[in-house]
Amino acid sequence: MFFDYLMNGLGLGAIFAFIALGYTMVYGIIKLINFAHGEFFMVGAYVGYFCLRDLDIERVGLPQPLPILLDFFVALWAASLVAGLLAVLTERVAYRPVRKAGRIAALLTAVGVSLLLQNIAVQVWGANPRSFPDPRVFHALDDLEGEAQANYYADREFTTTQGETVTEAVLLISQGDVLDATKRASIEDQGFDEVYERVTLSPKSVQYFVILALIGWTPILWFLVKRTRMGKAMRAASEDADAARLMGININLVVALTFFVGAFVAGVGGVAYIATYGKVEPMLGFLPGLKAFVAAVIGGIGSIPGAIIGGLILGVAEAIIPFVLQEVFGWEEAFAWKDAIAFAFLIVVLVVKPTGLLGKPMREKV
Amino acid sequence: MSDVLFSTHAVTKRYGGLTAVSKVSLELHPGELVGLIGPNGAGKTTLFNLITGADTVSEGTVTFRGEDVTELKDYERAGLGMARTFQNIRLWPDMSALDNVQTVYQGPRGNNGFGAILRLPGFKRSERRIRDDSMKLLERMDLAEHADMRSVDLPYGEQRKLEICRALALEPKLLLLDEPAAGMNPTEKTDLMHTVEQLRQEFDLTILVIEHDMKFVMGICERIYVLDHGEEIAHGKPDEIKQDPKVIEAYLGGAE
Amino acid sequence: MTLASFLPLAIELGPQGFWWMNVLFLVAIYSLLGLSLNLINGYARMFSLGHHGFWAMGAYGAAWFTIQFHGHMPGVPLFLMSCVFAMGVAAVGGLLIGLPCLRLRGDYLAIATLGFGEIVRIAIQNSPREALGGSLGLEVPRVIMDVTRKTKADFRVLMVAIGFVLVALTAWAIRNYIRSARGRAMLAVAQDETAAGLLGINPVRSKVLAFVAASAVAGLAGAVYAHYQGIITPLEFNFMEMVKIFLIVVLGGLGSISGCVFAAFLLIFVEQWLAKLPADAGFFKDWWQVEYAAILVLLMIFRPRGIFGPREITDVWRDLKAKWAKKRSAA
Repeated sequence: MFFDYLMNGLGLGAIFAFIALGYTMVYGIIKLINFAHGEFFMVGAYVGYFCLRDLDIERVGLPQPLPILLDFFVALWAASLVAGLLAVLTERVAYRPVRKAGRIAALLTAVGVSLLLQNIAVQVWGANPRSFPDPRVFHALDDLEGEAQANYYADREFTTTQGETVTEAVLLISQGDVLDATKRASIEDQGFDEVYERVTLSPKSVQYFVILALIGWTPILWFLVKRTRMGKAMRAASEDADAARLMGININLVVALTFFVGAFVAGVGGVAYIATYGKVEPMLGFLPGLKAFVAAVIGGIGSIPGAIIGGLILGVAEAIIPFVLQEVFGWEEAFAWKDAIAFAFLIVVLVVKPTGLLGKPMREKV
Repeated sequence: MSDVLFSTHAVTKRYGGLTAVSKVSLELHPGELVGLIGPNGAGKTTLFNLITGADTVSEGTVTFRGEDVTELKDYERAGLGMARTFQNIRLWPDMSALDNVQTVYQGPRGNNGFGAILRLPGFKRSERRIRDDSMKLLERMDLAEHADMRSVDLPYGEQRKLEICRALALEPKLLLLDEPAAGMNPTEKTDLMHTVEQLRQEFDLTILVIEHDMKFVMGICERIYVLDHGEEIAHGKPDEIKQDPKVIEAYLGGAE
Repeated sequence: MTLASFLPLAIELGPQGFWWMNVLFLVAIYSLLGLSLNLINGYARMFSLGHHGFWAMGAYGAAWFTIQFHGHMPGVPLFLMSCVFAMGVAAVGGLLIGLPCLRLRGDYLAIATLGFGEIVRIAIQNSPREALGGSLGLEVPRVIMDVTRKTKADFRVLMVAIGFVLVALTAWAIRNYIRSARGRAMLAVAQDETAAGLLGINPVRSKVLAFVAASAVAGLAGAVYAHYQGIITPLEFNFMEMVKIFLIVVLGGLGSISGCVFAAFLLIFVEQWLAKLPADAGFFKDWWQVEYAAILVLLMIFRPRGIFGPREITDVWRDLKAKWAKKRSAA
């Protein structure tokens, strides 16, 4: 029981970490709390959703489970790339013009961009949540025989009374049905020569996947920031942007790349998030985005290992604290208060140790 | 020594591994005009920050008017009568010259929030006093004609004078001037020298001044402390300082 | 004893009249919220994103107080006392969050206050049904006058009048405060906190005073709002409201009192007018939320200190007149 909560917490924490990385990198360089970062994450989640639903990569003729893995691989890359490009575009169009106007103007711009992206998503994709598309394994009808091993479905398009075209999965063969000639004929009569079974991902497998992904990404980011020219330029710019500029570093390019990398990993988090919680919606970025910022502050804003540690701490705290409050102290409604607990945690960290666990202290010169 | 107005005792400031100020002890008597000199990076402004509470000391004590003020906040020390100016001008940019002075001028009581909101007679009286006294200070520093200008729009030299004017509004006993003549031309510098001398008499001040211009310091200071690499290397009358081999070494060595 | 017995108004309003009264009342409420946020963000140059929390505290404080003492006290004093109570609740909230957080740098303060605003909303949502109504909301008894079909119009007109009296009083109080020793100290801390501290001003006290005063005004707005609505729910006080208040302040110009009221009118009018249009009114209505966010972003890019900046509308008018006069004399 406790172990389950711990795993839930680590899985959630890994997602927070993926988002927090972008916050921390951007803040490190231009001292902006990029409020819209949660929306890059949301857009990444939608892109991942559409890839998984519509690209039909599962049909690739390879032995199972390779097509499903390939499916996720493509979805992750697409989500990350689109989120990254969106971040670069946002930075160019909205943030760069206000960079000199002061931090408050910049933060308010970021709040505006966040709202803008949310509402565009509502207009384009609708306000209602959509459920996560389970990976499918396709079978030609001719390949199936005897008693069905699973539920088999096919997609059908129909038009609603409002005139919209909707795709709906129909259950054609239930598990245990015997596929005799009449059944086969009736399915063929409906125009299907192919059916699929759904592979339900267990929450646990998704959690393992997210945690592994984080473990995989950490050295890549470390290498990027510590060993490459670009990473060195990033660190120089975050120490002293003016000096870096004088030394010939193209600050605009560095900032754009930072936004790209930050949103890129947030895209990974987006796909992991919808796989864990089973749905995607336009408002999905707001709360995880805020909490990821909390995570970045806990770890020490500007520090990449800090963001990862902060994310994991916050995720585990969010899963364990209400659990302990409920089980040990008998507070029945503890889980309803988990967001409030996260924000209280934020305020306490900001007040007690605003530099976080791994952050550098800052002084003002008189 | 009962007539010590202000002293520091072995104050030290360390940032990580770097010691910016090391065991500096100063002593100022009422009415003195004392100079603090040293090459760039000697820790002069840091010492000012430790004295005024802009920064906390790592070790040592600061005493003002017989009271240990080491643990006091900056505004509490200011309230005891310690005012300063800044090396890089720090006026309140969007406020008028007059408001810069009025803000610091405490004036008579009765100017609290409720009296202000309801515009009570007591508030109006007190507000008039603050205004009149602030105008007098501006007139004293020849700034009256600029009273309504935003301070950021004033010419550079006038901004420096306004900083002194603003510090005087605190009605201080001790005035700390951080490079008051920086960026001024020779005529302006000479004027400022005389002004500082006169202000000391008029307002019964004790003054500690950081200045790079040797003519300025030697011309008006009665005593001089010399800092180098955070340590006091010499102190005495201007004539003694001029001949002190350590001081010459520090300045020439700095120019290497 | 209700006000109706003193004021036999019997006003007649058509549907248009009702709509206008509603718009004007909301303009008054958002002006109060904008003016108080302006004190924090415009004059004191702190960055708070938790104003909706204080608004909610005021609304729920007044509602709770009214329910507790309903029937034990005549209506008008109960209304007034509930307003004072609401201001107290919000001010205490402002003090509790202000004391620890006002040392924080600008953007950190913003996030801490945003967290506070969300905590308030979540706490109300999870409150026991019998205390604050939980997520279903709380019904506020009508105490200032009986609201029946006949007196509905009187009630609305009365509330609009109360709202604008409060706006005028608040604007007057803020103006007077700015032009006093305390107000100057606040502006000094806003413009250079280090210099202010070194010249004898206690920066924390100055900031806490401004923050608490602004919270109290937001609480007052909440109280009047709760009495007008008759039923309040926690979801009304969400972060979108915070953004709306902020947009009003920025649109009107940080530090401008008349600009703030003007911006509140503009925004509320457009919003309510769009709400009145039929569902298929087209792009302008469908995409309003998007347009609204776009306005905020464009404003920040091109006019980060507001349309007129910190100037009052009268100043703008005077400048324009001077310009015209110059043109005429040139011609």
